[in-house]
Amino acid sequence: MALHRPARVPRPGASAALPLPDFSVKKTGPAMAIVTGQDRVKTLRRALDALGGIGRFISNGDRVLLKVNAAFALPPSLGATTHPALVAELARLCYTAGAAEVIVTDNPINDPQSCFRLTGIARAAETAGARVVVPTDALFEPVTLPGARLIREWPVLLKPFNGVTKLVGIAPVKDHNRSGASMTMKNWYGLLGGARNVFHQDIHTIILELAMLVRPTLVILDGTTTMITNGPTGGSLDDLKQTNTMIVSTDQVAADAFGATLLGRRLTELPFITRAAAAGLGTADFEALRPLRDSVV
Amino acid sequence: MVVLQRQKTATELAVCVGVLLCLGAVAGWVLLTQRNFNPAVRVSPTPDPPLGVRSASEPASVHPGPVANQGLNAGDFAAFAPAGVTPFGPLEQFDEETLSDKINGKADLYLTSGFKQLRCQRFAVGDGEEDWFEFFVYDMGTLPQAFAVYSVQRRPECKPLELTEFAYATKNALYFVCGPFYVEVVAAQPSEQLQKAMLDMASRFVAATPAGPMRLVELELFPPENKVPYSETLNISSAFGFEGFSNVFTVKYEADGKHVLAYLTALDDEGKAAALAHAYCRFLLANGAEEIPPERALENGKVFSLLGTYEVVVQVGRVVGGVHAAHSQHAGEQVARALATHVAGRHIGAQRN
Repeated sequence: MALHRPARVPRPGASAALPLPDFSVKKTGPAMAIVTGQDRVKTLRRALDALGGIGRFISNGDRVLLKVNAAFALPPSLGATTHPALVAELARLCYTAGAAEVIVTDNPINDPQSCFRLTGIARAAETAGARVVVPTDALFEPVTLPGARLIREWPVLLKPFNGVTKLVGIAPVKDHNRSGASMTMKNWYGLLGGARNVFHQDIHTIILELAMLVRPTLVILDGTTTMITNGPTGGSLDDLKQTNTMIVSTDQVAADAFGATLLGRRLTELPFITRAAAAGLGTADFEALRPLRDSVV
Repeated sequence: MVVLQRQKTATELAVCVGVLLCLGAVAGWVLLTQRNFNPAVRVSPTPDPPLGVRSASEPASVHPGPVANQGLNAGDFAAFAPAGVTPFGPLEQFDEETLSDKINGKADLYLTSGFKQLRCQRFAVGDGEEDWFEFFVYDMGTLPQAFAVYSVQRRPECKPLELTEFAYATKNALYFVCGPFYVEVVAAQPSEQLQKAMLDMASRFVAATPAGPMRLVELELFPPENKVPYSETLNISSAFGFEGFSNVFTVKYEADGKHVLAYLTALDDEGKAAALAHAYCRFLLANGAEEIPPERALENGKVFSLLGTYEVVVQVGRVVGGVHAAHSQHAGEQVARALATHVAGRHIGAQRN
């Protein structure tokens, strides 16, 4: 089998056959905000305001799923996981916009209980009134993504999506030993179950297929600190660089393309971005979205 | 007789049909089970609570890793814990198959460097919610392999430690090699109290672990003059993208105000070294390099220009070495010449003993 045979992207209009609904908000169109500042809560708020406010994406009665990166049982200070302050703030903003429920989930690499607890995500979510769904085998269902080569009869964390109307991915910017970078598209890897490490052999294809599988409402790429080296786990504070940037976008490809600049990587070094763009899942030319730029003190 | 034969045949036929039906039923059951098989089953060995019933922020009493505590004494690491430091999770163990369950995409680095096993455990100082650290012991099989993963991950802004020959600290972590073990001790946050506890525990581990001689002979082949401190690395496989380059040591040198990367690998004999040097030169040419004349005579050496940088390849006895991606031909040759002279002076022999 050819290792790099491209996955076939389903035609527009064929989304009814997709295992997950399209969570994007059609009226907003492609949009992106980039806000600089050290305080990730302030930069998140400002970025959402720049895009027209949270109410443009979350409506009364929505059930919102926040897909965090809780991959490792590591503290937030090491930058390997979604920062709990973002989880709390976003959950709170969703409720302010009228959300009926906010769910936080991920299928971590390490023991899930330890991950949700030690990352601070569980406490942050629960404090903000969100419900944390810790993955168990009953929550996975075998999924075949039309046109995909790797996601075929593969267990995916689907059950928490029951009744969900909006989806937001929240991920830190990280170096990754296999894929070159772990950002918003790679974050969907945490929806896979099973012995998913087999996909590391073809990491760019699996990220592409995950981007085909998941059409989020928004992605939030946290570049307040960037894990420049030794990713995806890091470990030392010396692996982190203060880059003070928050990206909020409806286009996950554009968000990752901007994230690459924080890592100092060229797009040619991150084929999953160019392949996702070529597949029509977004644009790697993030400037084409005319991103709204701002900064907060 | 004929009747008996017929009866026998009929009985045999009935038994055969019965056996076939049984086999069919078993095959059907297997196929049905396979069809419904969910590889995600190892996520939770316990009955599933309803969605959201479990509070994820509650401390869990047990954190089973994929092969937690299997065949291990859970007190292994606790024995090294100083007073006031207590286990904050179970001892976990990961092998080649499961390493990525712990460190995900970083597993390849270890797997291509001879990884055998990882054992790790979290420890707390005080109540543990904020002040905890994790003690990782990677069994890499040999000292060079442990040094390899240590060296390529070395953080540039670190403080050397006297814990072992190869050891350093960062604001929140300790990293060191002890015989075939590469050890990481990573704290949840930078704190003097944690750093002291971690160092105490690491010292106890080192004292109790027979490391053997912590000497890598190849590192002594590099000349000490103008060496960038702590810049030594070992690449176990495919150094500089060349598949033939295994066990390649590198050291950075100051030359003309910039860093130049010198490298070497020791083969079993001169013949193998000559063949490897030749193969690497061909690899460079195949990738767009152009051979250029050296500024001064370079015994058993060649110089190449490639994309605005300079490669020097020399062979000295059973050692192949040189300079990779130097910023100037002059600096590259200067460092390569010093390396060749130093290697020649070490008299490491035409054949490995």
